Amino acid sequence: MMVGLGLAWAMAGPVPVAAPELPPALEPVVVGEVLVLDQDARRVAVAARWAPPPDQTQLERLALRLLARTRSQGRRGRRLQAELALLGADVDLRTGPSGATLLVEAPAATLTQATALALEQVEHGGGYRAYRREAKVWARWRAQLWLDLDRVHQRAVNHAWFAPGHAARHAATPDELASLRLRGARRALERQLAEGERRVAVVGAGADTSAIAAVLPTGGRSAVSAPAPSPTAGIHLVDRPGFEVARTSVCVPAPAHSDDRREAFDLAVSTVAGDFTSRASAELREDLGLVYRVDVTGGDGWRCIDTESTAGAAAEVVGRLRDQLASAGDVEDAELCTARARLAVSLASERLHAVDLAGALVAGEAATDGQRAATSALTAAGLGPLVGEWLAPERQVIVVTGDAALIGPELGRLGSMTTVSAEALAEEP
Amino acid sequence: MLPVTAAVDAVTLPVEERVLDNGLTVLVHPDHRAPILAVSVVYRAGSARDPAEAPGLAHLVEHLMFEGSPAAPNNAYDSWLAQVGAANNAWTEPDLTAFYAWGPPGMLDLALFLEADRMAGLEPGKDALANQLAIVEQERRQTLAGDRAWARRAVDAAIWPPAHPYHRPVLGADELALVDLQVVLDHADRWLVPANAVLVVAGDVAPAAAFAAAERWFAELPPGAPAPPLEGPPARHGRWYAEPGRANPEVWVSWPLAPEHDALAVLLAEVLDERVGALVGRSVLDAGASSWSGELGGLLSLDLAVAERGTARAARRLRRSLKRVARFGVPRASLDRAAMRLWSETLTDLEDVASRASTLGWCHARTGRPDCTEQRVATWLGAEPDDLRDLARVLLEREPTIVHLSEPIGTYLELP
Repeated sequence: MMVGLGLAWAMAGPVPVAAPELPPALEPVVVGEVLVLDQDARRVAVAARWAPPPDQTQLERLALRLLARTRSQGRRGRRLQAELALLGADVDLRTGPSGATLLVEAPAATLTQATALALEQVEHGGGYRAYRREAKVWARWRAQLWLDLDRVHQRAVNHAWFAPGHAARHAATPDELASLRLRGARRALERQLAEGERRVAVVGAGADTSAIAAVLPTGGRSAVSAPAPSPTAGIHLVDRPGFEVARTSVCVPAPAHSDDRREAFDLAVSTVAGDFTSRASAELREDLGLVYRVDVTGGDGWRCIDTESTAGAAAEVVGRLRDQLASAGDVEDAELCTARARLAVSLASERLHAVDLAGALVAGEAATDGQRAATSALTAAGLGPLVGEWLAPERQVIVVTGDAALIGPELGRLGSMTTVSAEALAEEP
Repeated sequence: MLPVTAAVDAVTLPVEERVLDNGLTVLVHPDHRAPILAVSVVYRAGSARDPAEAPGLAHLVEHLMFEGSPAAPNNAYDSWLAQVGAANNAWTEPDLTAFYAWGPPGMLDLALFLEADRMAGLEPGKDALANQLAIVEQERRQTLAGDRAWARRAVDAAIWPPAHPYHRPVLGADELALVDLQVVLDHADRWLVPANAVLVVAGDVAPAAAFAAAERWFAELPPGAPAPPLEGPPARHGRWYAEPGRANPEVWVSWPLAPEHDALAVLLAEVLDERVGALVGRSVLDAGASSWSGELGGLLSLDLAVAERGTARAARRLRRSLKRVARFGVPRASLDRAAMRLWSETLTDLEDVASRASTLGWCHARTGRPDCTEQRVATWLGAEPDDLRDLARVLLEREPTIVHLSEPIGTYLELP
């Protein structure tokens, strides 16, 4: 159906639109010890984070993780869950090497009560049986890990990126799992809530922040950050026979969350991957039809470009992603404008998600004034030197998971490659 | 617990509605929380309109809508929007196909011009069809690698007979590779027209400006025709098995749903999800309940994955859980918890401006009204235990469809 819409229509082209400005950095107000961001939200969110004690062991971290999963499974936990649901509250507890974060979202009028109940649920919700059951579920997951392409791939990325002993790559052995006890997990939680530095943020309006601060344990002085990664650069092939698809991640070091260059670095990465107009997506998806999507993932100090293709095309995908990263610092003015406009929209959107904002504030992930100023002042010519040190090919960690018989011969031509079976990888502690 | 009126107020989105002379429904939802604008177009045509010889056509057309139109050639839709910081996406389901974009408020005219242009007609570039077929195939492979998507495909194939529009998978099948460009263009010309569409503008915009822009860019388009009602044979029952060789045996027990039971069935599924979820333990790896409903009805499903063989026993346990509701009803507390969880999820979904645009369009295209979210919340929070008991009794009047995955019980199911 072609319709006569007239010359004006045909000449319309891209209707001129002014690019949006970067919003200013978030400016929470400190009320007592609480970071408060007053904004329009239908529910108010609170995030409370306690840093881990410096001598926290891997097993303690796993014990806390299991405890977090059991909080609504015991009889008391189910009762508390029911009360929380009736208050219109959502609760989450995230545990990891950089701390334990309790996230609660509820109508302002019930937020203090919901926060107190959430804490009680975390501390006492799961009973002994629930904890043992969760340990068994974890053990089964551990035993079957190699069957699942996504899980084994993520484990391979963690193994390539973090040194042995790092929390991010630790998976308890069956003996360790068998030794876990609820009493020990509760002791580990008590220690973290008593010794770890506490940060609290409230996003929304109308909440009683001092009452909320009062119901949360005050924490201690320990402010240990997660151990640094120690990536093993090179190509890592994980053999998982029988799959016609392959998962690929090309990972690079990145500025830390607190680094003023963080946003600028992410702008450069976003020209390579992350949406349908990125260079990699344009080439691998639109031009060649090799992949469905190209995503950017990562954490504090690292980014990965992830995609999935047929096993036969994996080597070509890796080669082209490497080429794209090699030229990521070579950004044109128009691309920089596009990336900055995209960042402006994304930051404006993020402000609508109260619980995510609260979590970012306590984790120190919210952009700083320094980062925002550096990003606003950035020029295309200045981007290359700024990101070059992070994107050097010799620092890249490339992980491909799939059928080695289909992937290996071509992938091996791209450089030095180590191969490990999915089963062997899953067996590693 | 929140009073029903307060809960409904919290999910209410103020909307103004107009219908252009060519039949295009325009909804405007002003939302000034952030400098964000979202535009969504929902067409009342999804995979249920696919020809039998081209399963997956609607989804393929969804992809090709980004590949060029008269005044926005090649990939201009994506690149022009990206230049101003906007992002976009699309989805296809059995009844509907939807497109949405979000970006700065200044993109209003650009976004509507682009939507109008591709509604006027598709002009995909030279190699676009071949490329998008490859991408769709990769998407299908990637999606079906996930356990739940793979299981749902088997359940749909079992409960809806081959002549039913919902039997065909949204992402298509191998035959799609044979489709030619004319079939694609015919599909777009027939279904992606103003009289069969809902346009939503949401976000930091004045309604008058949004309606004026909609008039400016869409009023000249010929109306086309609205989609006629879908037709299909009744759902079937029986016992099948499918796809041997996956990691763990799993069973899905599904009952057909009438469209009018949609909202209540979501609540019943939420209650049952909590109950069957409690079965997870040493021998049960995972268990849950879900419901889905479209124009021709839907299904309520209970699923359970076991560590080893034993899905026949698992199916009996799942059937018993619904029979218990039919016999004893559900405790008030369990009902209230489920209703509040659904309310909570709805609130979270509506945080985002793009989600609001998408939800309003979905509601209007499905029900002819923009406020179906409020109606659903009112149904959930106003429901009585007897309502769920009665629904369970209605469902049990029909035999369920039982699909065993990775365990050969019943007749082997050929998947489309």
